[in-house]
Amino acid sequence: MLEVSELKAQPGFSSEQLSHLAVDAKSDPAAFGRLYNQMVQPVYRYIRSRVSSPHEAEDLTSQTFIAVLEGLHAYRERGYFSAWLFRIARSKVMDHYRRSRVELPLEAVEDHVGLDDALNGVVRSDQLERLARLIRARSEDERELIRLRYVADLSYAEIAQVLGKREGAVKKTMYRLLASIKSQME
Amino acid sequence: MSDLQPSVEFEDQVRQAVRPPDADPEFVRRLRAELASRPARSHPRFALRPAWAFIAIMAVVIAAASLPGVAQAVRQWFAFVPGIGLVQPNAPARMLDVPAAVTRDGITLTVEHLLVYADRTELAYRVEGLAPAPAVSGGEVCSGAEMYPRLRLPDGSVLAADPMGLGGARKVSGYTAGHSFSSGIPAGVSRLTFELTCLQDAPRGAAPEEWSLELRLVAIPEGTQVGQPLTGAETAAVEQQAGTGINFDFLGGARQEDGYHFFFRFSAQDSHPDFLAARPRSMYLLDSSGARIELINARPWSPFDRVDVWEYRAVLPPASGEMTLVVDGAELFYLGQHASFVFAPGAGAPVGQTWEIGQRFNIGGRDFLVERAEKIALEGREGFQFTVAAGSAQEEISVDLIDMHSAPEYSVWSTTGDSGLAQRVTAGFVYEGGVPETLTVTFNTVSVAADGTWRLRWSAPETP
Repeated sequence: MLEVSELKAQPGFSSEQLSHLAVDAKSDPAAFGRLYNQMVQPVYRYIRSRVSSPHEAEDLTSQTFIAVLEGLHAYRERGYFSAWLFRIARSKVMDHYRRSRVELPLEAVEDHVGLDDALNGVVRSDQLERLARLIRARSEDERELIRLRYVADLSYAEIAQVLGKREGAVKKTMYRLLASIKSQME
Repeated sequence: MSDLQPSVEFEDQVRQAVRPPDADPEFVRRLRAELASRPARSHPRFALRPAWAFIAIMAVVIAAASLPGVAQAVRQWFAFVPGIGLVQPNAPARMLDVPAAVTRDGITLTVEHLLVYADRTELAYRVEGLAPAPAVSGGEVCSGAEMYPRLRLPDGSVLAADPMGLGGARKVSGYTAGHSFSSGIPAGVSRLTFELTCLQDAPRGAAPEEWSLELRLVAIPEGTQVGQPLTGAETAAVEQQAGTGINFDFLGGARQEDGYHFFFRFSAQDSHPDFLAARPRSMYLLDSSGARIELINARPWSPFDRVDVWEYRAVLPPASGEMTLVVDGAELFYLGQHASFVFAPGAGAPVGQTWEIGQRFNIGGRDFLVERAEKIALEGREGFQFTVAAGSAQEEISVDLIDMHSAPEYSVWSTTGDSGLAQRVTAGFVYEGGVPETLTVTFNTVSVAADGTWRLRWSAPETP
């Protein structure tokens, strides 16, 4: 049985350290505990930014970590563990929408939930409200880029692996996207 | 691009605008407890889903296999699909109508298998004609998510491969790869597109990229055998080793380009609550020419995995004719996490300093004596190594020690020490960012050698 250590505020692991830790976690329950403690909040936040309720986010976060636990033995230390993890999380979200597609097409669903609903109850300035609206108006691909960068806190290299793109291309797209949003703000 | 680089202040604003609240700590605690109560899974290809169906099937298998005449029939339930592994021939619902291939610049990519289950999809493809990668490459190579295939459905949705390969092998001028996808394909979809950004480990730009292949799915025709049947179990004669409580049950072999893959169960009757698993200590075959060829585990494994059927492969193709498979000893693994001790080396101890410990523990019904500790350094990190002796001079052991409890600023890195079985072994760990003055050392797992020899005389089928 796996034993997961008590949740503690974790030091920030580098991407490389996380990948090493994931390899250790194949046979080391304590290492898995550290991975969990380090990654559970970013994964939850990312999923929460894509679904309409905390309950759904908790369910999909659970599914994600169970899949990680079950698949970790086959994790290969090639590329970033965080990219591997977030690809599983994205897959769980996509499955979730695929199952509920009969009610609303995916794009329509995502337009009504995610970044918007996730922020209910959060008091923000007018400027932040305007910024959030501008981000919601962007394409799904652009919003996903923003989620991975500013909700999941992934590096550009990690985002590139999640999306299967080149790091330079991701960075360029993000810079242009933010520049465009900033110009709309001004 | 630098002109476009956003300011830190603006990035902070974006973060505040999009960032949802953290998860409820109670949920985090509950999920942690749930994960802690789940056993690690070993072999997703073979852990047929849904889980209750697998458990029910295996219960029948185990019960029926003991009946005369039934065991052979049971063996025929399994087949081997190269790149994917062991499958139940009747479990997938759909498959490729024919393998699909495309050739670009002399490199051929062939999707050989696509098996669609209700809740997952498995795919194997082959690349041939790829120039060997240079031993030293200064540039970027295809890796990570870019080397995982995708399946694009007609509605534009994309299934990304789970980032855990099923298997595969490097070839002189290419490779084979197997991947799983964590969902099935909707019943109404019969045409889809295989996509691959780049070829595994190929230097970027040196080989064609952005591969795309149209695939067509068909229902598996009645009577069609999916995969390569395991062969030879009918004629195999197994000599069990009495007195060990371990049963070797041969399911058959499958000829591959790199030799044979052999499938077998290695079941230990050990009722101790610490017992985790048994595996062959070493395994080899003697072919008809008298050559001894090592057999190695074909899949990644840890003691926490629960393997039902082991897959071992010969490292060289054996000569045709009768061969003898030999399992030379067994290794029994036990969970040791109930056994731990506090060790207080204090501050400032130099590398090489030793401490006498002299603590005895019982794990899996065996005694383990922690004799001494030594401060060590490994690749710039410092830590501790412990000498552990078996309870009797006749016993051979291995141990895996961890520090599960130190404060988070002490990140524990890879374990060190002996990996083989011996009467006296060393094991330990090093820390990232300093060494604690007091630590709790825990036995993660231990293993014990079990003597015995299991032999199997087997005639390889004639080469077609």
